[in-house]
Amino acid sequence: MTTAEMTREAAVAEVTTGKLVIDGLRKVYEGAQSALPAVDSFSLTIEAGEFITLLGPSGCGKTTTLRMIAGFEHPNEGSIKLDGEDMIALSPDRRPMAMVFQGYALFPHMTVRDNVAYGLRIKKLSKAQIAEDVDYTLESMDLAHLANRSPNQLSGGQQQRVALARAMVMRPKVLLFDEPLSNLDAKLRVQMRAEILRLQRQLGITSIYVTHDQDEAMMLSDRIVVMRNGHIEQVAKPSTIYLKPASSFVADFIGRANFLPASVLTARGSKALVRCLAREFEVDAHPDALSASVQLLLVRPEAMNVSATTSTTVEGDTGRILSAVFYGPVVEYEVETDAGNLVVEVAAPDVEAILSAGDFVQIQFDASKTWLLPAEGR
Amino acid sequence: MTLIAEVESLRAEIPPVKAPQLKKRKLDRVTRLILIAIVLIIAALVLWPLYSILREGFSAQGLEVLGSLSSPTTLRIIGNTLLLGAVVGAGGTLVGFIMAYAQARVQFRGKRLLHLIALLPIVSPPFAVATAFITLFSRNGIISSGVFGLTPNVYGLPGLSFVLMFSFFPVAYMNMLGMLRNLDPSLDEASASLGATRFKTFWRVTVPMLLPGFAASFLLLFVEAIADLANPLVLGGNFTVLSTRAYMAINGEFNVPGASAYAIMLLVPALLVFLVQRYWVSRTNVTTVTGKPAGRVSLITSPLARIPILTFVGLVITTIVLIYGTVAVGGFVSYLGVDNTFTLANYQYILGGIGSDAILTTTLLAVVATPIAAVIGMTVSWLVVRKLTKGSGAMDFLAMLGLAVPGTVLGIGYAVAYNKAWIVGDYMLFPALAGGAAILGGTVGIVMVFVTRSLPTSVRSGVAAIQQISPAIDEAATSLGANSVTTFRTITLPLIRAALLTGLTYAFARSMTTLSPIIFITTPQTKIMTSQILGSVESGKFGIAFAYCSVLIILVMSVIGLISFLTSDKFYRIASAWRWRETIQQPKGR
Amino acid sequence: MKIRTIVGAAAGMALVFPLAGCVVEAADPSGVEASAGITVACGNIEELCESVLTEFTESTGIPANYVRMSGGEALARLESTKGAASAEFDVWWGGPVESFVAATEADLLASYLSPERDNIQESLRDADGYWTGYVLNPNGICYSVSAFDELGLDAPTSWDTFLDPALSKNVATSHPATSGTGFGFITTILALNDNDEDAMFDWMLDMHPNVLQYTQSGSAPVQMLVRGEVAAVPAFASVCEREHVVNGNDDIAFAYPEEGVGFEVGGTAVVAGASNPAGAEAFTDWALGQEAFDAYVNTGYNVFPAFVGEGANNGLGQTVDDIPWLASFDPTASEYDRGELAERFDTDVAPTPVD
Repeated sequence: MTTAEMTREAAVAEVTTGKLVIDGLRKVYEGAQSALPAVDSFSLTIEAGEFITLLGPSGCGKTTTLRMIAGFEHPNEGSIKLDGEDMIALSPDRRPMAMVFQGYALFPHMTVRDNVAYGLRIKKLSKAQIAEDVDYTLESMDLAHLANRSPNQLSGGQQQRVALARAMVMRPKVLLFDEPLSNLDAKLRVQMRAEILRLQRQLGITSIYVTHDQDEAMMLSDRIVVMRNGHIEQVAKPSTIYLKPASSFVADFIGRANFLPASVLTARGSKALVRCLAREFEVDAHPDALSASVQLLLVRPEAMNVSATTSTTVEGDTGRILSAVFYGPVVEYEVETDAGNLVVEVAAPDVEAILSAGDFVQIQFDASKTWLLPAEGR
Repeated sequence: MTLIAEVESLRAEIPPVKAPQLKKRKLDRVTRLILIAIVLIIAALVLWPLYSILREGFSAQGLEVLGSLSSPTTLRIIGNTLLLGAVVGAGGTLVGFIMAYAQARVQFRGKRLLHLIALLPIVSPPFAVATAFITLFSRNGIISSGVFGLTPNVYGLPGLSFVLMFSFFPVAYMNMLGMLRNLDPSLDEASASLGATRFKTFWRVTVPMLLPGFAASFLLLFVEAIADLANPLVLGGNFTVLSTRAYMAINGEFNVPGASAYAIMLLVPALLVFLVQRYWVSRTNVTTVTGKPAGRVSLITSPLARIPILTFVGLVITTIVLIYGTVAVGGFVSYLGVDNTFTLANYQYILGGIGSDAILTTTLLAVVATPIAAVIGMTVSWLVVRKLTKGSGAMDFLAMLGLAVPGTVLGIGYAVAYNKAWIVGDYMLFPALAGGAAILGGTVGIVMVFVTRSLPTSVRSGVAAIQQISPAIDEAATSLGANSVTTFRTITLPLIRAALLTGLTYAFARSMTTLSPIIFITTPQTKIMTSQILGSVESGKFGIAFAYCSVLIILVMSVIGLISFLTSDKFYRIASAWRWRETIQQPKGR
Repeated sequence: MKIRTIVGAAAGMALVFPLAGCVVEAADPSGVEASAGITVACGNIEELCESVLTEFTESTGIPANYVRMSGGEALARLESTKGAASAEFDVWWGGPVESFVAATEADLLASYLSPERDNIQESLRDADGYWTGYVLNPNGICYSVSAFDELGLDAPTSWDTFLDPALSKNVATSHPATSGTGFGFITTILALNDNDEDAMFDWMLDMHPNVLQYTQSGSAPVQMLVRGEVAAVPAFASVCEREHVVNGNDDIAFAYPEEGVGFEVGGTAVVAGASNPAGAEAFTDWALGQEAFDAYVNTGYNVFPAFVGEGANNGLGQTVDDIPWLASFDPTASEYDRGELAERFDTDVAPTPVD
């Protein structure tokens, strides 16, 4: 466990409310083009103060799930309990949750201050209390100088901060994020990400974040929920998702992956002896891999290396360079092997030593950084 | 003026970008109550009178008239009606189009002025144009005879269609202008880069894309023309149409069922057109594929095109100015064209005694009806766009009926439906609302008619406006704890302020200038301006008629101006600042 | 303003309207004082309604409210509210008596034998007292002197002037379905043709090419004349004379055709179920007298009084004997089915296409 992860866990442990238990959530749209449900068998327990990301390609059901939690969609089956209280019976305006929207959805006819104060006014808090809360939140998000502006006078990043402030000032039990940063340019996104993380840590509010951006997911989450076609593929810490994905889909979705056909020679506990690229290694294996009929060995590009070789045939662990692209911090090779085309990433390359297309190379990788997966039926 | 006319012109003004729509949830209790209330109200406003007319029309006496459907007289009348509709539809659309094209695509100075003047006929009361027209262009008209020495016969189809075209072309103008402005200019550019001249581009690219607009305008104007009663009464000559026939049936033959039968005959084409308009034409609305037009339009500067177009525009504008000039001047003269002595007697008459009574009453009733129509309209739009799933189409349709039904038909319907109290045994369950035996002098019936005629525009503009609002905004409010009603009140309503304004404006203008439904339910105690104007015109008191019209126009414009200010950004900011006055803190310097 | 409140108010208004559940009081008219005020269905020109009724109020102290409507309108109105707890109107005043006859048959009027009634010529009042005539207005040819000059025509002396091809598109008349003037015109021609309907319609068809417009209202043709749009119109004397008597328009002149003229009789009647019958009766008494007649004439409408006696003249120095009344003319038009005639007019005459 990394230090960062340890710090996260400690922070999470301090918060006591906001535990969400979701069980067997299912949503089918009537008259939908396919008969398949948008979300099926979705079960998850989120601890108080945890930051969960729902990650997946478009159409995987992550937004639908989020909206069901928020109350904007009604599930056909399943339950959602917040601190033991049933949420499904409550209309969205009664659930102690607040949502941050993709397009910010700031009220265009109100100033920043009015926007942030909106929810508090609905709660009918005293004017003084509202003023105090609003001012505090604006201060802490560096928005105080914009308080009297209207949303159309703000930049994208500022608008997003206001949307955030508006939700956070409510001190909800659960914060919901619907791809809030996808409208921002790359640099701003990174900044805002950090901001969101900082605030979440500070307030310790349970957060559910929907995105299709893996970097975001990796950076923000305590745990990532990878979804596909309405189902959960895997729920795990970011490092686990990356290093030990449960399926080739997850592996491919996060980061880049090379899948090498491998045959299991022997298996022992969670390790297996496999034959791959005409060599034998001992590798960590996913539990399902050992019982599957076909396996694949996951090797990340950065875990591979190539070196010049005198061999001139593509076989076994010998391959031929198809392309070489210099990106700056890395050089990326596409290598043809008899196990398919592989992507190899070599960091901090010596510019002089970069290989060229057509060169024959020997493929090397660190077996301890590989992972055996079950192959999926196509 | 009425109908999906303004409706469509409003829709055309707003760019067709629609926010993705919510999938709606089940209705909460309050919303359900509101829904029921609205349905009941609309039933009382439109359905009950309609049903009453059908009942009367299909009664024994009414069936006699309906049976005469195949007689040459009746066929001729129906033919006249349809002919009038077609001529006005085509002519008005053409005029409106040329004006809109000039405004949108031709280079010239004074565009703003053109726009304002072109819209003048919208606030104009009935008869204003017809009366001025007679004064100017008839046998002994100031222009026709005085200037050109001609003695044209203005009565009948030619004069009538001219006046109707003139009165309704602004609707086509607004419609086509909106469409033209939504056309993607890059289409023109693409066409040019492929080698087409402007002329070719016009015929092969612009016009085909505007075809739905042409169709829509034609249909709108068609219905306006066949539903009109005021102008055919004054200018019809021997050219009888269904609305005047129905009027004659009541006034001449004392045959209410017969009149109902004629009303039904009129209702059929009107409803047909309404349905066609709704379900076919509006579906084929093609402006741009990508939604928002990009780029700027290059205006036409070539004299070959400019001269004919601007000459035509000039003619139209001149005519408008002439006509309304006549109205303005005519009020100050004994009998314009016959006895041109300056006099204040006309204004004295209308501003004192009966006249002022009519002015005050009409204005008061319109002022009462307008916000009612706006409120109901906004509520209906909110239900249709945000709340109802299966029922939204039906609700929308119901709300539009008030204008789909010709005024004459509605008026007769109200007279039949509401002029008797509902008495069971010794108990009066419901009093008469319209006509002389009604409570409150029949004003209730009149207010109801005003509301019925204004509601559709209000709904259409509300629907268009709410559709523009991203549902995420509503959801944001909900996620912050606002229930349906609070969301509507604090978020939706303020955001559709502009639509509200438009709705209010049209509602008021319509109520002040409507004649055809009102004329059947006026009462001794309640004098309505349009009814008074009809009387003046018929008895040849053009001076008084002109004075009334002038006052009416000024009134309508003033109220519109006031409404415009009250719903403007300026006023809103003042109000908002007032609300926050205690807690505004000095912004920290940065 | 909370939306709830608005909606609630609106819904409330809609439901609260009816003083619901209140017991219908069989309106007890006998208890109503005459001075409570009357509502008059006024078939005369607005000006007359205004001036004469004001005179009535000044003279008797009874306030009078009126609605101006044509005979047909009034008939339809009374018909539609027949049977209502109390009638809209107390009195029906003015307008041609043929509508009164129809109204009597439809049980819309109440019988009242006013003492003043005895002064009225017998032929001009209902035997049972349902209506009483108070003025006579002969019809004739109203024409523009200058127009006739320009056309090279002599002053008209016969109804057949309307058939003169020289007057092509230079004549206007009101439609008999909606206008008493128009109806009076065709019944005059009918009487001239010994009540032969076909002959009358042939005559009308002969006139048709000359007609510029068939107007809805009776007063419109004279206005068209005044505006110079036509040269001659059939009209009632008072309306035509008014143009030069009151408006000083010397171009307009009136001629009584030699063959004989028809006339309209302005009548007054008490409406059945009036809420103020005492007031209605007081009005009837007044309306049949000299004062009412003077008020009428003073407004500029020179009609003849229906009462007999000295000085029964129209204010222009003409007495009843000066006019070539058509003996066979029946002002009550009781022999004619107005509806039928009007409809036949519509069918045969009005829509005939010309050029």
